[in-house]
Amino acid sequence: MVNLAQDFHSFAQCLLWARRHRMRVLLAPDRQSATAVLGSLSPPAPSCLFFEEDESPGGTRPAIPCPDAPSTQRGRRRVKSLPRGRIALWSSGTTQSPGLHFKSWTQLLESVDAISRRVRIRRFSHVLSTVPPYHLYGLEHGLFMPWRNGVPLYRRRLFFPSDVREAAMLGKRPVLVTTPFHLRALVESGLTVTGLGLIVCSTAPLSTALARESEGRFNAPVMEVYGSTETGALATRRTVREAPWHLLDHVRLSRRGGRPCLVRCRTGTAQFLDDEVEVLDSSHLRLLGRRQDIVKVAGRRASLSALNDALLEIPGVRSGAFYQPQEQEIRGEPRRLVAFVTAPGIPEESILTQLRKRIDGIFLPRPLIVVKDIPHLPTGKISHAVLDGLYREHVAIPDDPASG
Amino acid sequence: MTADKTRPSPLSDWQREIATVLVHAVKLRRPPDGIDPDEPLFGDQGLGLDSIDALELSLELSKRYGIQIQADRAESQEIFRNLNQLSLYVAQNRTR
Repeated sequence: MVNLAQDFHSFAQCLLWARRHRMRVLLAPDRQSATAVLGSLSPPAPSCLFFEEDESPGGTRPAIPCPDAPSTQRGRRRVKSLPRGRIALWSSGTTQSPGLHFKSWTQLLESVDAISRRVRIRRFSHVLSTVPPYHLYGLEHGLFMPWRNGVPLYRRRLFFPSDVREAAMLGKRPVLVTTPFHLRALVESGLTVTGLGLIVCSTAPLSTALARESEGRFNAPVMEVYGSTETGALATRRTVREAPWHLLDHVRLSRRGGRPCLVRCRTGTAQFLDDEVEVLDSSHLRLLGRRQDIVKVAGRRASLSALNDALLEIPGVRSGAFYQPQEQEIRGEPRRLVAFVTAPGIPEESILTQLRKRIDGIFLPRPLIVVKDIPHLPTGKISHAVLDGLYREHVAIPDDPASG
Repeated sequence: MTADKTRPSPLSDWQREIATVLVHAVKLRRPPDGIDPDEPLFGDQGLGLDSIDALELSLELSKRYGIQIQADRAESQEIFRNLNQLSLYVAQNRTR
């Protein structure tokens, strides 16, 4: 079953129904990506239920439309079939094919219970989320945390700042589950949001400045969560204090072969981390950096080299590279990618059309810059310094239209 | 820019102002006058904007015109349909 419900209540109903029938559940942002995942399954899924809300005028009840035969997509890497009774989360993938991560209910509840203890969730009136439940962070914090603890949750996914303001007024001390991107929008909107008890933030690094501004403005602590789709929530910190990360109590830190790794207390299984970390003691760590190749936009990850491959595959493209500007992070803007390309005689629009077919739309370059020539290193690669230079030369910070 | 495209319909002054705000908010590499008022803003056709853009644009509209858009309201789909709808909505609902 593919759970495409947008409403948290319908989404939870679908999960329960699938659990009762020991059905596999696939979580994906939309029908298109779900169909792509189903098409890559081996053996192929024979038929599949798509669960989504009825969007016809006046229809708000969830509907279960007829089984939908997945289209097969050539060139996709085959992935193993979905294990029974598990929840499969789609992620836009560190490779070109969408990645699936399987979670059992037990695994999910382990991190959910640990985060609930850390947050002491029952102190709060209700939970609001700007994060969709198909994303693991949204699933754990926005749905399972309140659900498991009998805390009311606001059923609609919030998106715009005024959605948050309205939903926050429904109880005395709600928890807001959000991302740096939505939090920045909420701060910049200038809206007065009163009564928040706690702000939980994840999916991308949160700057201390934004955390401080949010705490001052909404009079609630901002707790940042560290985790990933592979691991679930792992650690938290109060960002304004720039403290080290405090591990949740279902995991501890250890070393295997000289490399830091995480050990799950219940099963004893160890897992290496994608990030470079400094282990301070068995329950505290400091993040030193993210792996170079991985870029994140709106909580979705992609491999820069896979994106570059997709760009270079386009007929007529001679050279090119994606680039993630650092200044956006400093200014707290959504981290859009930029790409530089040399493709004599090929119009920019047709390169974008071709790219759209190959990569998740969220990673489309904003903007794509066509240049005459990109200097290469002797190895054939393009150095970061060259890209920095091209960025400074071609992508000026847009002027405010009001001043023009 | 491309020769095979039909020329977009000319914009009114107000539509051009909104188009300029749009281009600025979502960092489009398109001149405001290159946007057709009936061209879809979101999805694979037209400008191809996505949810990040929706939030950026809503923020810009709230700063400039005092407009607060809510996802819950049925009209939010309609507002972002195209430049035409967006300009109309902003003109009718602006508070500054």
